[in-house]
Amino acid sequence: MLFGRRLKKRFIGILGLAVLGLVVHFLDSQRPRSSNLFDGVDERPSEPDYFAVNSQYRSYNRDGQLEHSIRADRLLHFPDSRQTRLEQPELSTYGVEGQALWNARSDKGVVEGDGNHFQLNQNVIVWKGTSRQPEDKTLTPVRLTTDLLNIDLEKEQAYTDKAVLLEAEQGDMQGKGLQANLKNSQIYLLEDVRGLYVQ
Amino acid sequence: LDSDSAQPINIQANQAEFNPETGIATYTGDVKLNQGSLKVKAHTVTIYQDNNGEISKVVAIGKGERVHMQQKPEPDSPEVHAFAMYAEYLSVEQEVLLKDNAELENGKDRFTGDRIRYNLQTRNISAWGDKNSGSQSQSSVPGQVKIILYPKNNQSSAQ
Repeated sequence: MLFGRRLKKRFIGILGLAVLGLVVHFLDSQRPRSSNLFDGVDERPSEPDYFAVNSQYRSYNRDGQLEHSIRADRLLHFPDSRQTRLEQPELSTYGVEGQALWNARSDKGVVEGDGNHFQLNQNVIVWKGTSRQPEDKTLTPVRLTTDLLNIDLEKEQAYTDKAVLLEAEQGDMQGKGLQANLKNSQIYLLEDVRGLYVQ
Repeated sequence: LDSDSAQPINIQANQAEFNPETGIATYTGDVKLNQGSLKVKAHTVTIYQDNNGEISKVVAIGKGERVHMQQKPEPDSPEVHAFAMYAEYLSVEQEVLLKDNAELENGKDRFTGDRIRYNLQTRNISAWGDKNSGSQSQSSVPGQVKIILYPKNNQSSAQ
C-alpha cells in the first residue's frame, strides 16, 4: 500500500512538472521575438574596391571621336553593384566636330556598371555650350536646374519626374517632369507648365 | 493697351516643348496667355523668336473650341474679343490674323468671315470670305463676310 501511495505521489509530481513545463514553453513562444531588421542583408557592408580623386574619364567612339567625358572630385567603385558613386560630378557630351554639346553638374551622382546610365542628384544643373560657368547666364544660352536627373547616353535621353526650371535667352519655363532628347535638343516639360517671356 | 507689348508674357499650360536650337516653344493643353490687357485661351500656343531672342510670331490653335483673344485697346474703350480656330499674332506688324470660323467683336460692332485681319495699332479690320473653305463661319451665306455696325451716336440709345 505504502509503496503504491509513494508511487502515486511521485507520479503526480512528475505530471505536475510536465504540465508546468508545457505552460512555460507556451508562454515563452508567445513572447515577441526581437526581429533582426537586417535579416538576410549581406553582413559584409559593400566595400569599394577602388576610388579615385580628381579623376577624368573620357569615352571615344570607334572612329576615335570623343563622345562624352566625366570629371569628379572623388569616385568610388562598388564591385557588388558594379556602380560608381561620384562626388561633384561633371558630365559633358560632344558633337561630331568635338564641340561640347550638353554639360551636366551636380553634388552627387551614380554611374551604372555599363557606363551609359547616370543619375545625378542634388543641385543638378544642365547647360549647353562650352562655358564652364553655368551660373553666368550671359555665357549659357540654355540652362536647366532640378533636384534629380537620369541620363541615358545609349538612348541619348535625359528624364526626371522632379520640378524643373529651364532658363533660356528666349524666356523661362518651369514644370514638373521632363524628357529631353540629347541628340536634337528637343525638351518636353510634362506637367503644370508656366512660361515667362520678358521683351 | 499700348503698353501691352512692353509687358512680360505669362503662359500657363499642361505640357510644353522647347528646342533651344530653333528657339521655338509650344505649349499644349488648356493654354492661357496673358500680356497686360491681352488674354488668349487656346489648345495650343506656339511662340517663335527671331535671332535676337525677340518674339516674332505667336500662333494659337483651337481644338473643339475656338481660340479666344481679348484685349482692351484703350483704357476707356470696350474690350475687343476675337474668336477663330487659328489665330496668328505678328509682333512687328502688330497685327492679328484670324482664320477658320473667325469672329471679331469690337464693342457692339461684330465681324464674321473665314478670315479677319485686325491691326492692334490702327484698329483697322479687314475681313474675307472664302467660297471653297469648308469651315462653317457664322455668316449665313458660306464664303461671305457679315458685318454688324452700330451707329456711334445711337449706340447708347440702342441699348
